[in-house]
Amino acid sequence: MRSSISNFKERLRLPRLFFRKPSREEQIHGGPPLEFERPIPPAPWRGIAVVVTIVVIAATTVWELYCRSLGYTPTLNDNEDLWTLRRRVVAPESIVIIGDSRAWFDVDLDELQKGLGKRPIQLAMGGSTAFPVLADLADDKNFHGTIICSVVPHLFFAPPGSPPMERAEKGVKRFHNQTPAQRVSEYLAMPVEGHVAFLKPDDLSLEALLNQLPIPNRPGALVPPRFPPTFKLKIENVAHECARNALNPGAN
Amino acid sequence: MGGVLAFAGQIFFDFAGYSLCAIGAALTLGFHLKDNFRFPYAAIGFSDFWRRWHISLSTFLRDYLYIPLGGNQVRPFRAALNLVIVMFLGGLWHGAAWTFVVWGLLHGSYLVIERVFRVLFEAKRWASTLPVRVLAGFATYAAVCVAWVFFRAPDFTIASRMLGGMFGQHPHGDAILTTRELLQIGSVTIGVIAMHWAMRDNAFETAVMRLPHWAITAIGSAMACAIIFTQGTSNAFIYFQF
Repeated sequence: MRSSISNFKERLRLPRLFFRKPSREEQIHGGPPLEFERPIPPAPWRGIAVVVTIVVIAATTVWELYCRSLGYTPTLNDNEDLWTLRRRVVAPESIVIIGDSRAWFDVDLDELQKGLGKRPIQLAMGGSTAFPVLADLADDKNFHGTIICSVVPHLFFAPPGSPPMERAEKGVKRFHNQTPAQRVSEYLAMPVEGHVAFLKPDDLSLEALLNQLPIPNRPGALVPPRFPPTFKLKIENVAHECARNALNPGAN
Repeated sequence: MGGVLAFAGQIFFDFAGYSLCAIGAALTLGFHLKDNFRFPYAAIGFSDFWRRWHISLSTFLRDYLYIPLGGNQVRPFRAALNLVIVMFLGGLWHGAAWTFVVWGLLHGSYLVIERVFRVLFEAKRWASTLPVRVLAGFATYAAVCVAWVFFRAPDFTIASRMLGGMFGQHPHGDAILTTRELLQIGSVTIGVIAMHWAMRDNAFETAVMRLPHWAITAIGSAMACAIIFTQGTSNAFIYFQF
């Protein structure tokens, strides 16, 4: 294969002054010539690409069907980019819910909307402290709405560097520093996540699946509680039902 | 120790991986870029390591700093000082932090020590035997890992705590990594070192050329599936910050 510079030279017919082969003196410290061409190993690359595509589509389809058979359905992933998306919606007069999983799971936005007249914006994060979000909203000169804050003492007063604090800070930091690439990535990911069930980093990523391996841990290992597959989906549904029953006693 | 080995693997896969992405993307547009990594964890000695790791930076440092400073065409002490100055600046290139300075100075010192060893032992017959070369390779890897502590740690307190842990000062410290994670780190580290040793005198293209077509297809399919099933987060590459 001819190098791109050679092709360019031939097409433009530029003087040899610029594109002549470098002399021995011109070569940097006796190194290779200035032109460089990567060797491309001879192989039927087009055929290989077709077979790889077919294998990947087949494997992905089988995995998707298996995950759906376990009870997983397509949902948006709850990460700092999705949180940032909601944070951007906060208007000066908004009602905002912040805090931990109590505020996240135990609040029915439909019911609150009926009672309050407008739909609150859900900014609570499971396993996080509300403190950084509260501070960020307090610093926001445009915001003078209402905040509903869930306070669980050991989470709200979590020390700096602890996982609850880091989780909340990560979201706030992403809101302020989100790059255009991260923003575009989120907009591209949402339609895919809305149709593909196996995109569940907490449950079905390679890392999460490796964590499910029955390997006994060494004594004293700091291991988070191990939940069975689909536990999170079930607990969300249960929380939703509990909130409905509490608001409409005797409905069921 | 597990954390340092994990970081040694992470930074290699992160940086070498996106260098390959850049090489591949450029190739689709007709631009031929040179390798940025050549199986660095099989390096025997630190000058060999820097001929294999971040080659674009090390070549730049060699051509525009080391050689203008006189390179090795000066007295031995001055040549050693040149090495330390170049690696000090190479450390600073990564960020304005004292930890990067120490990382650079450590590598500068390694290069100086290696040069002394070469003068003393290179002519000896036993120095070029396989066991000594393998031992030198593992010593290089271990010293590079010690330097990674300063590259990764946000401050010297954490760096000294990490080093203390590596050298057995905290036998009853928290067991932060799970057994599964330790097994993963161990197997990936052994795998990457074995692969680098197997490939250390070869080019990636040569290996592809030697493989049967079905094996290229199988490896390509496995890698594409791994990308999809891993579900990587949207975190940027580590080296984007430099």
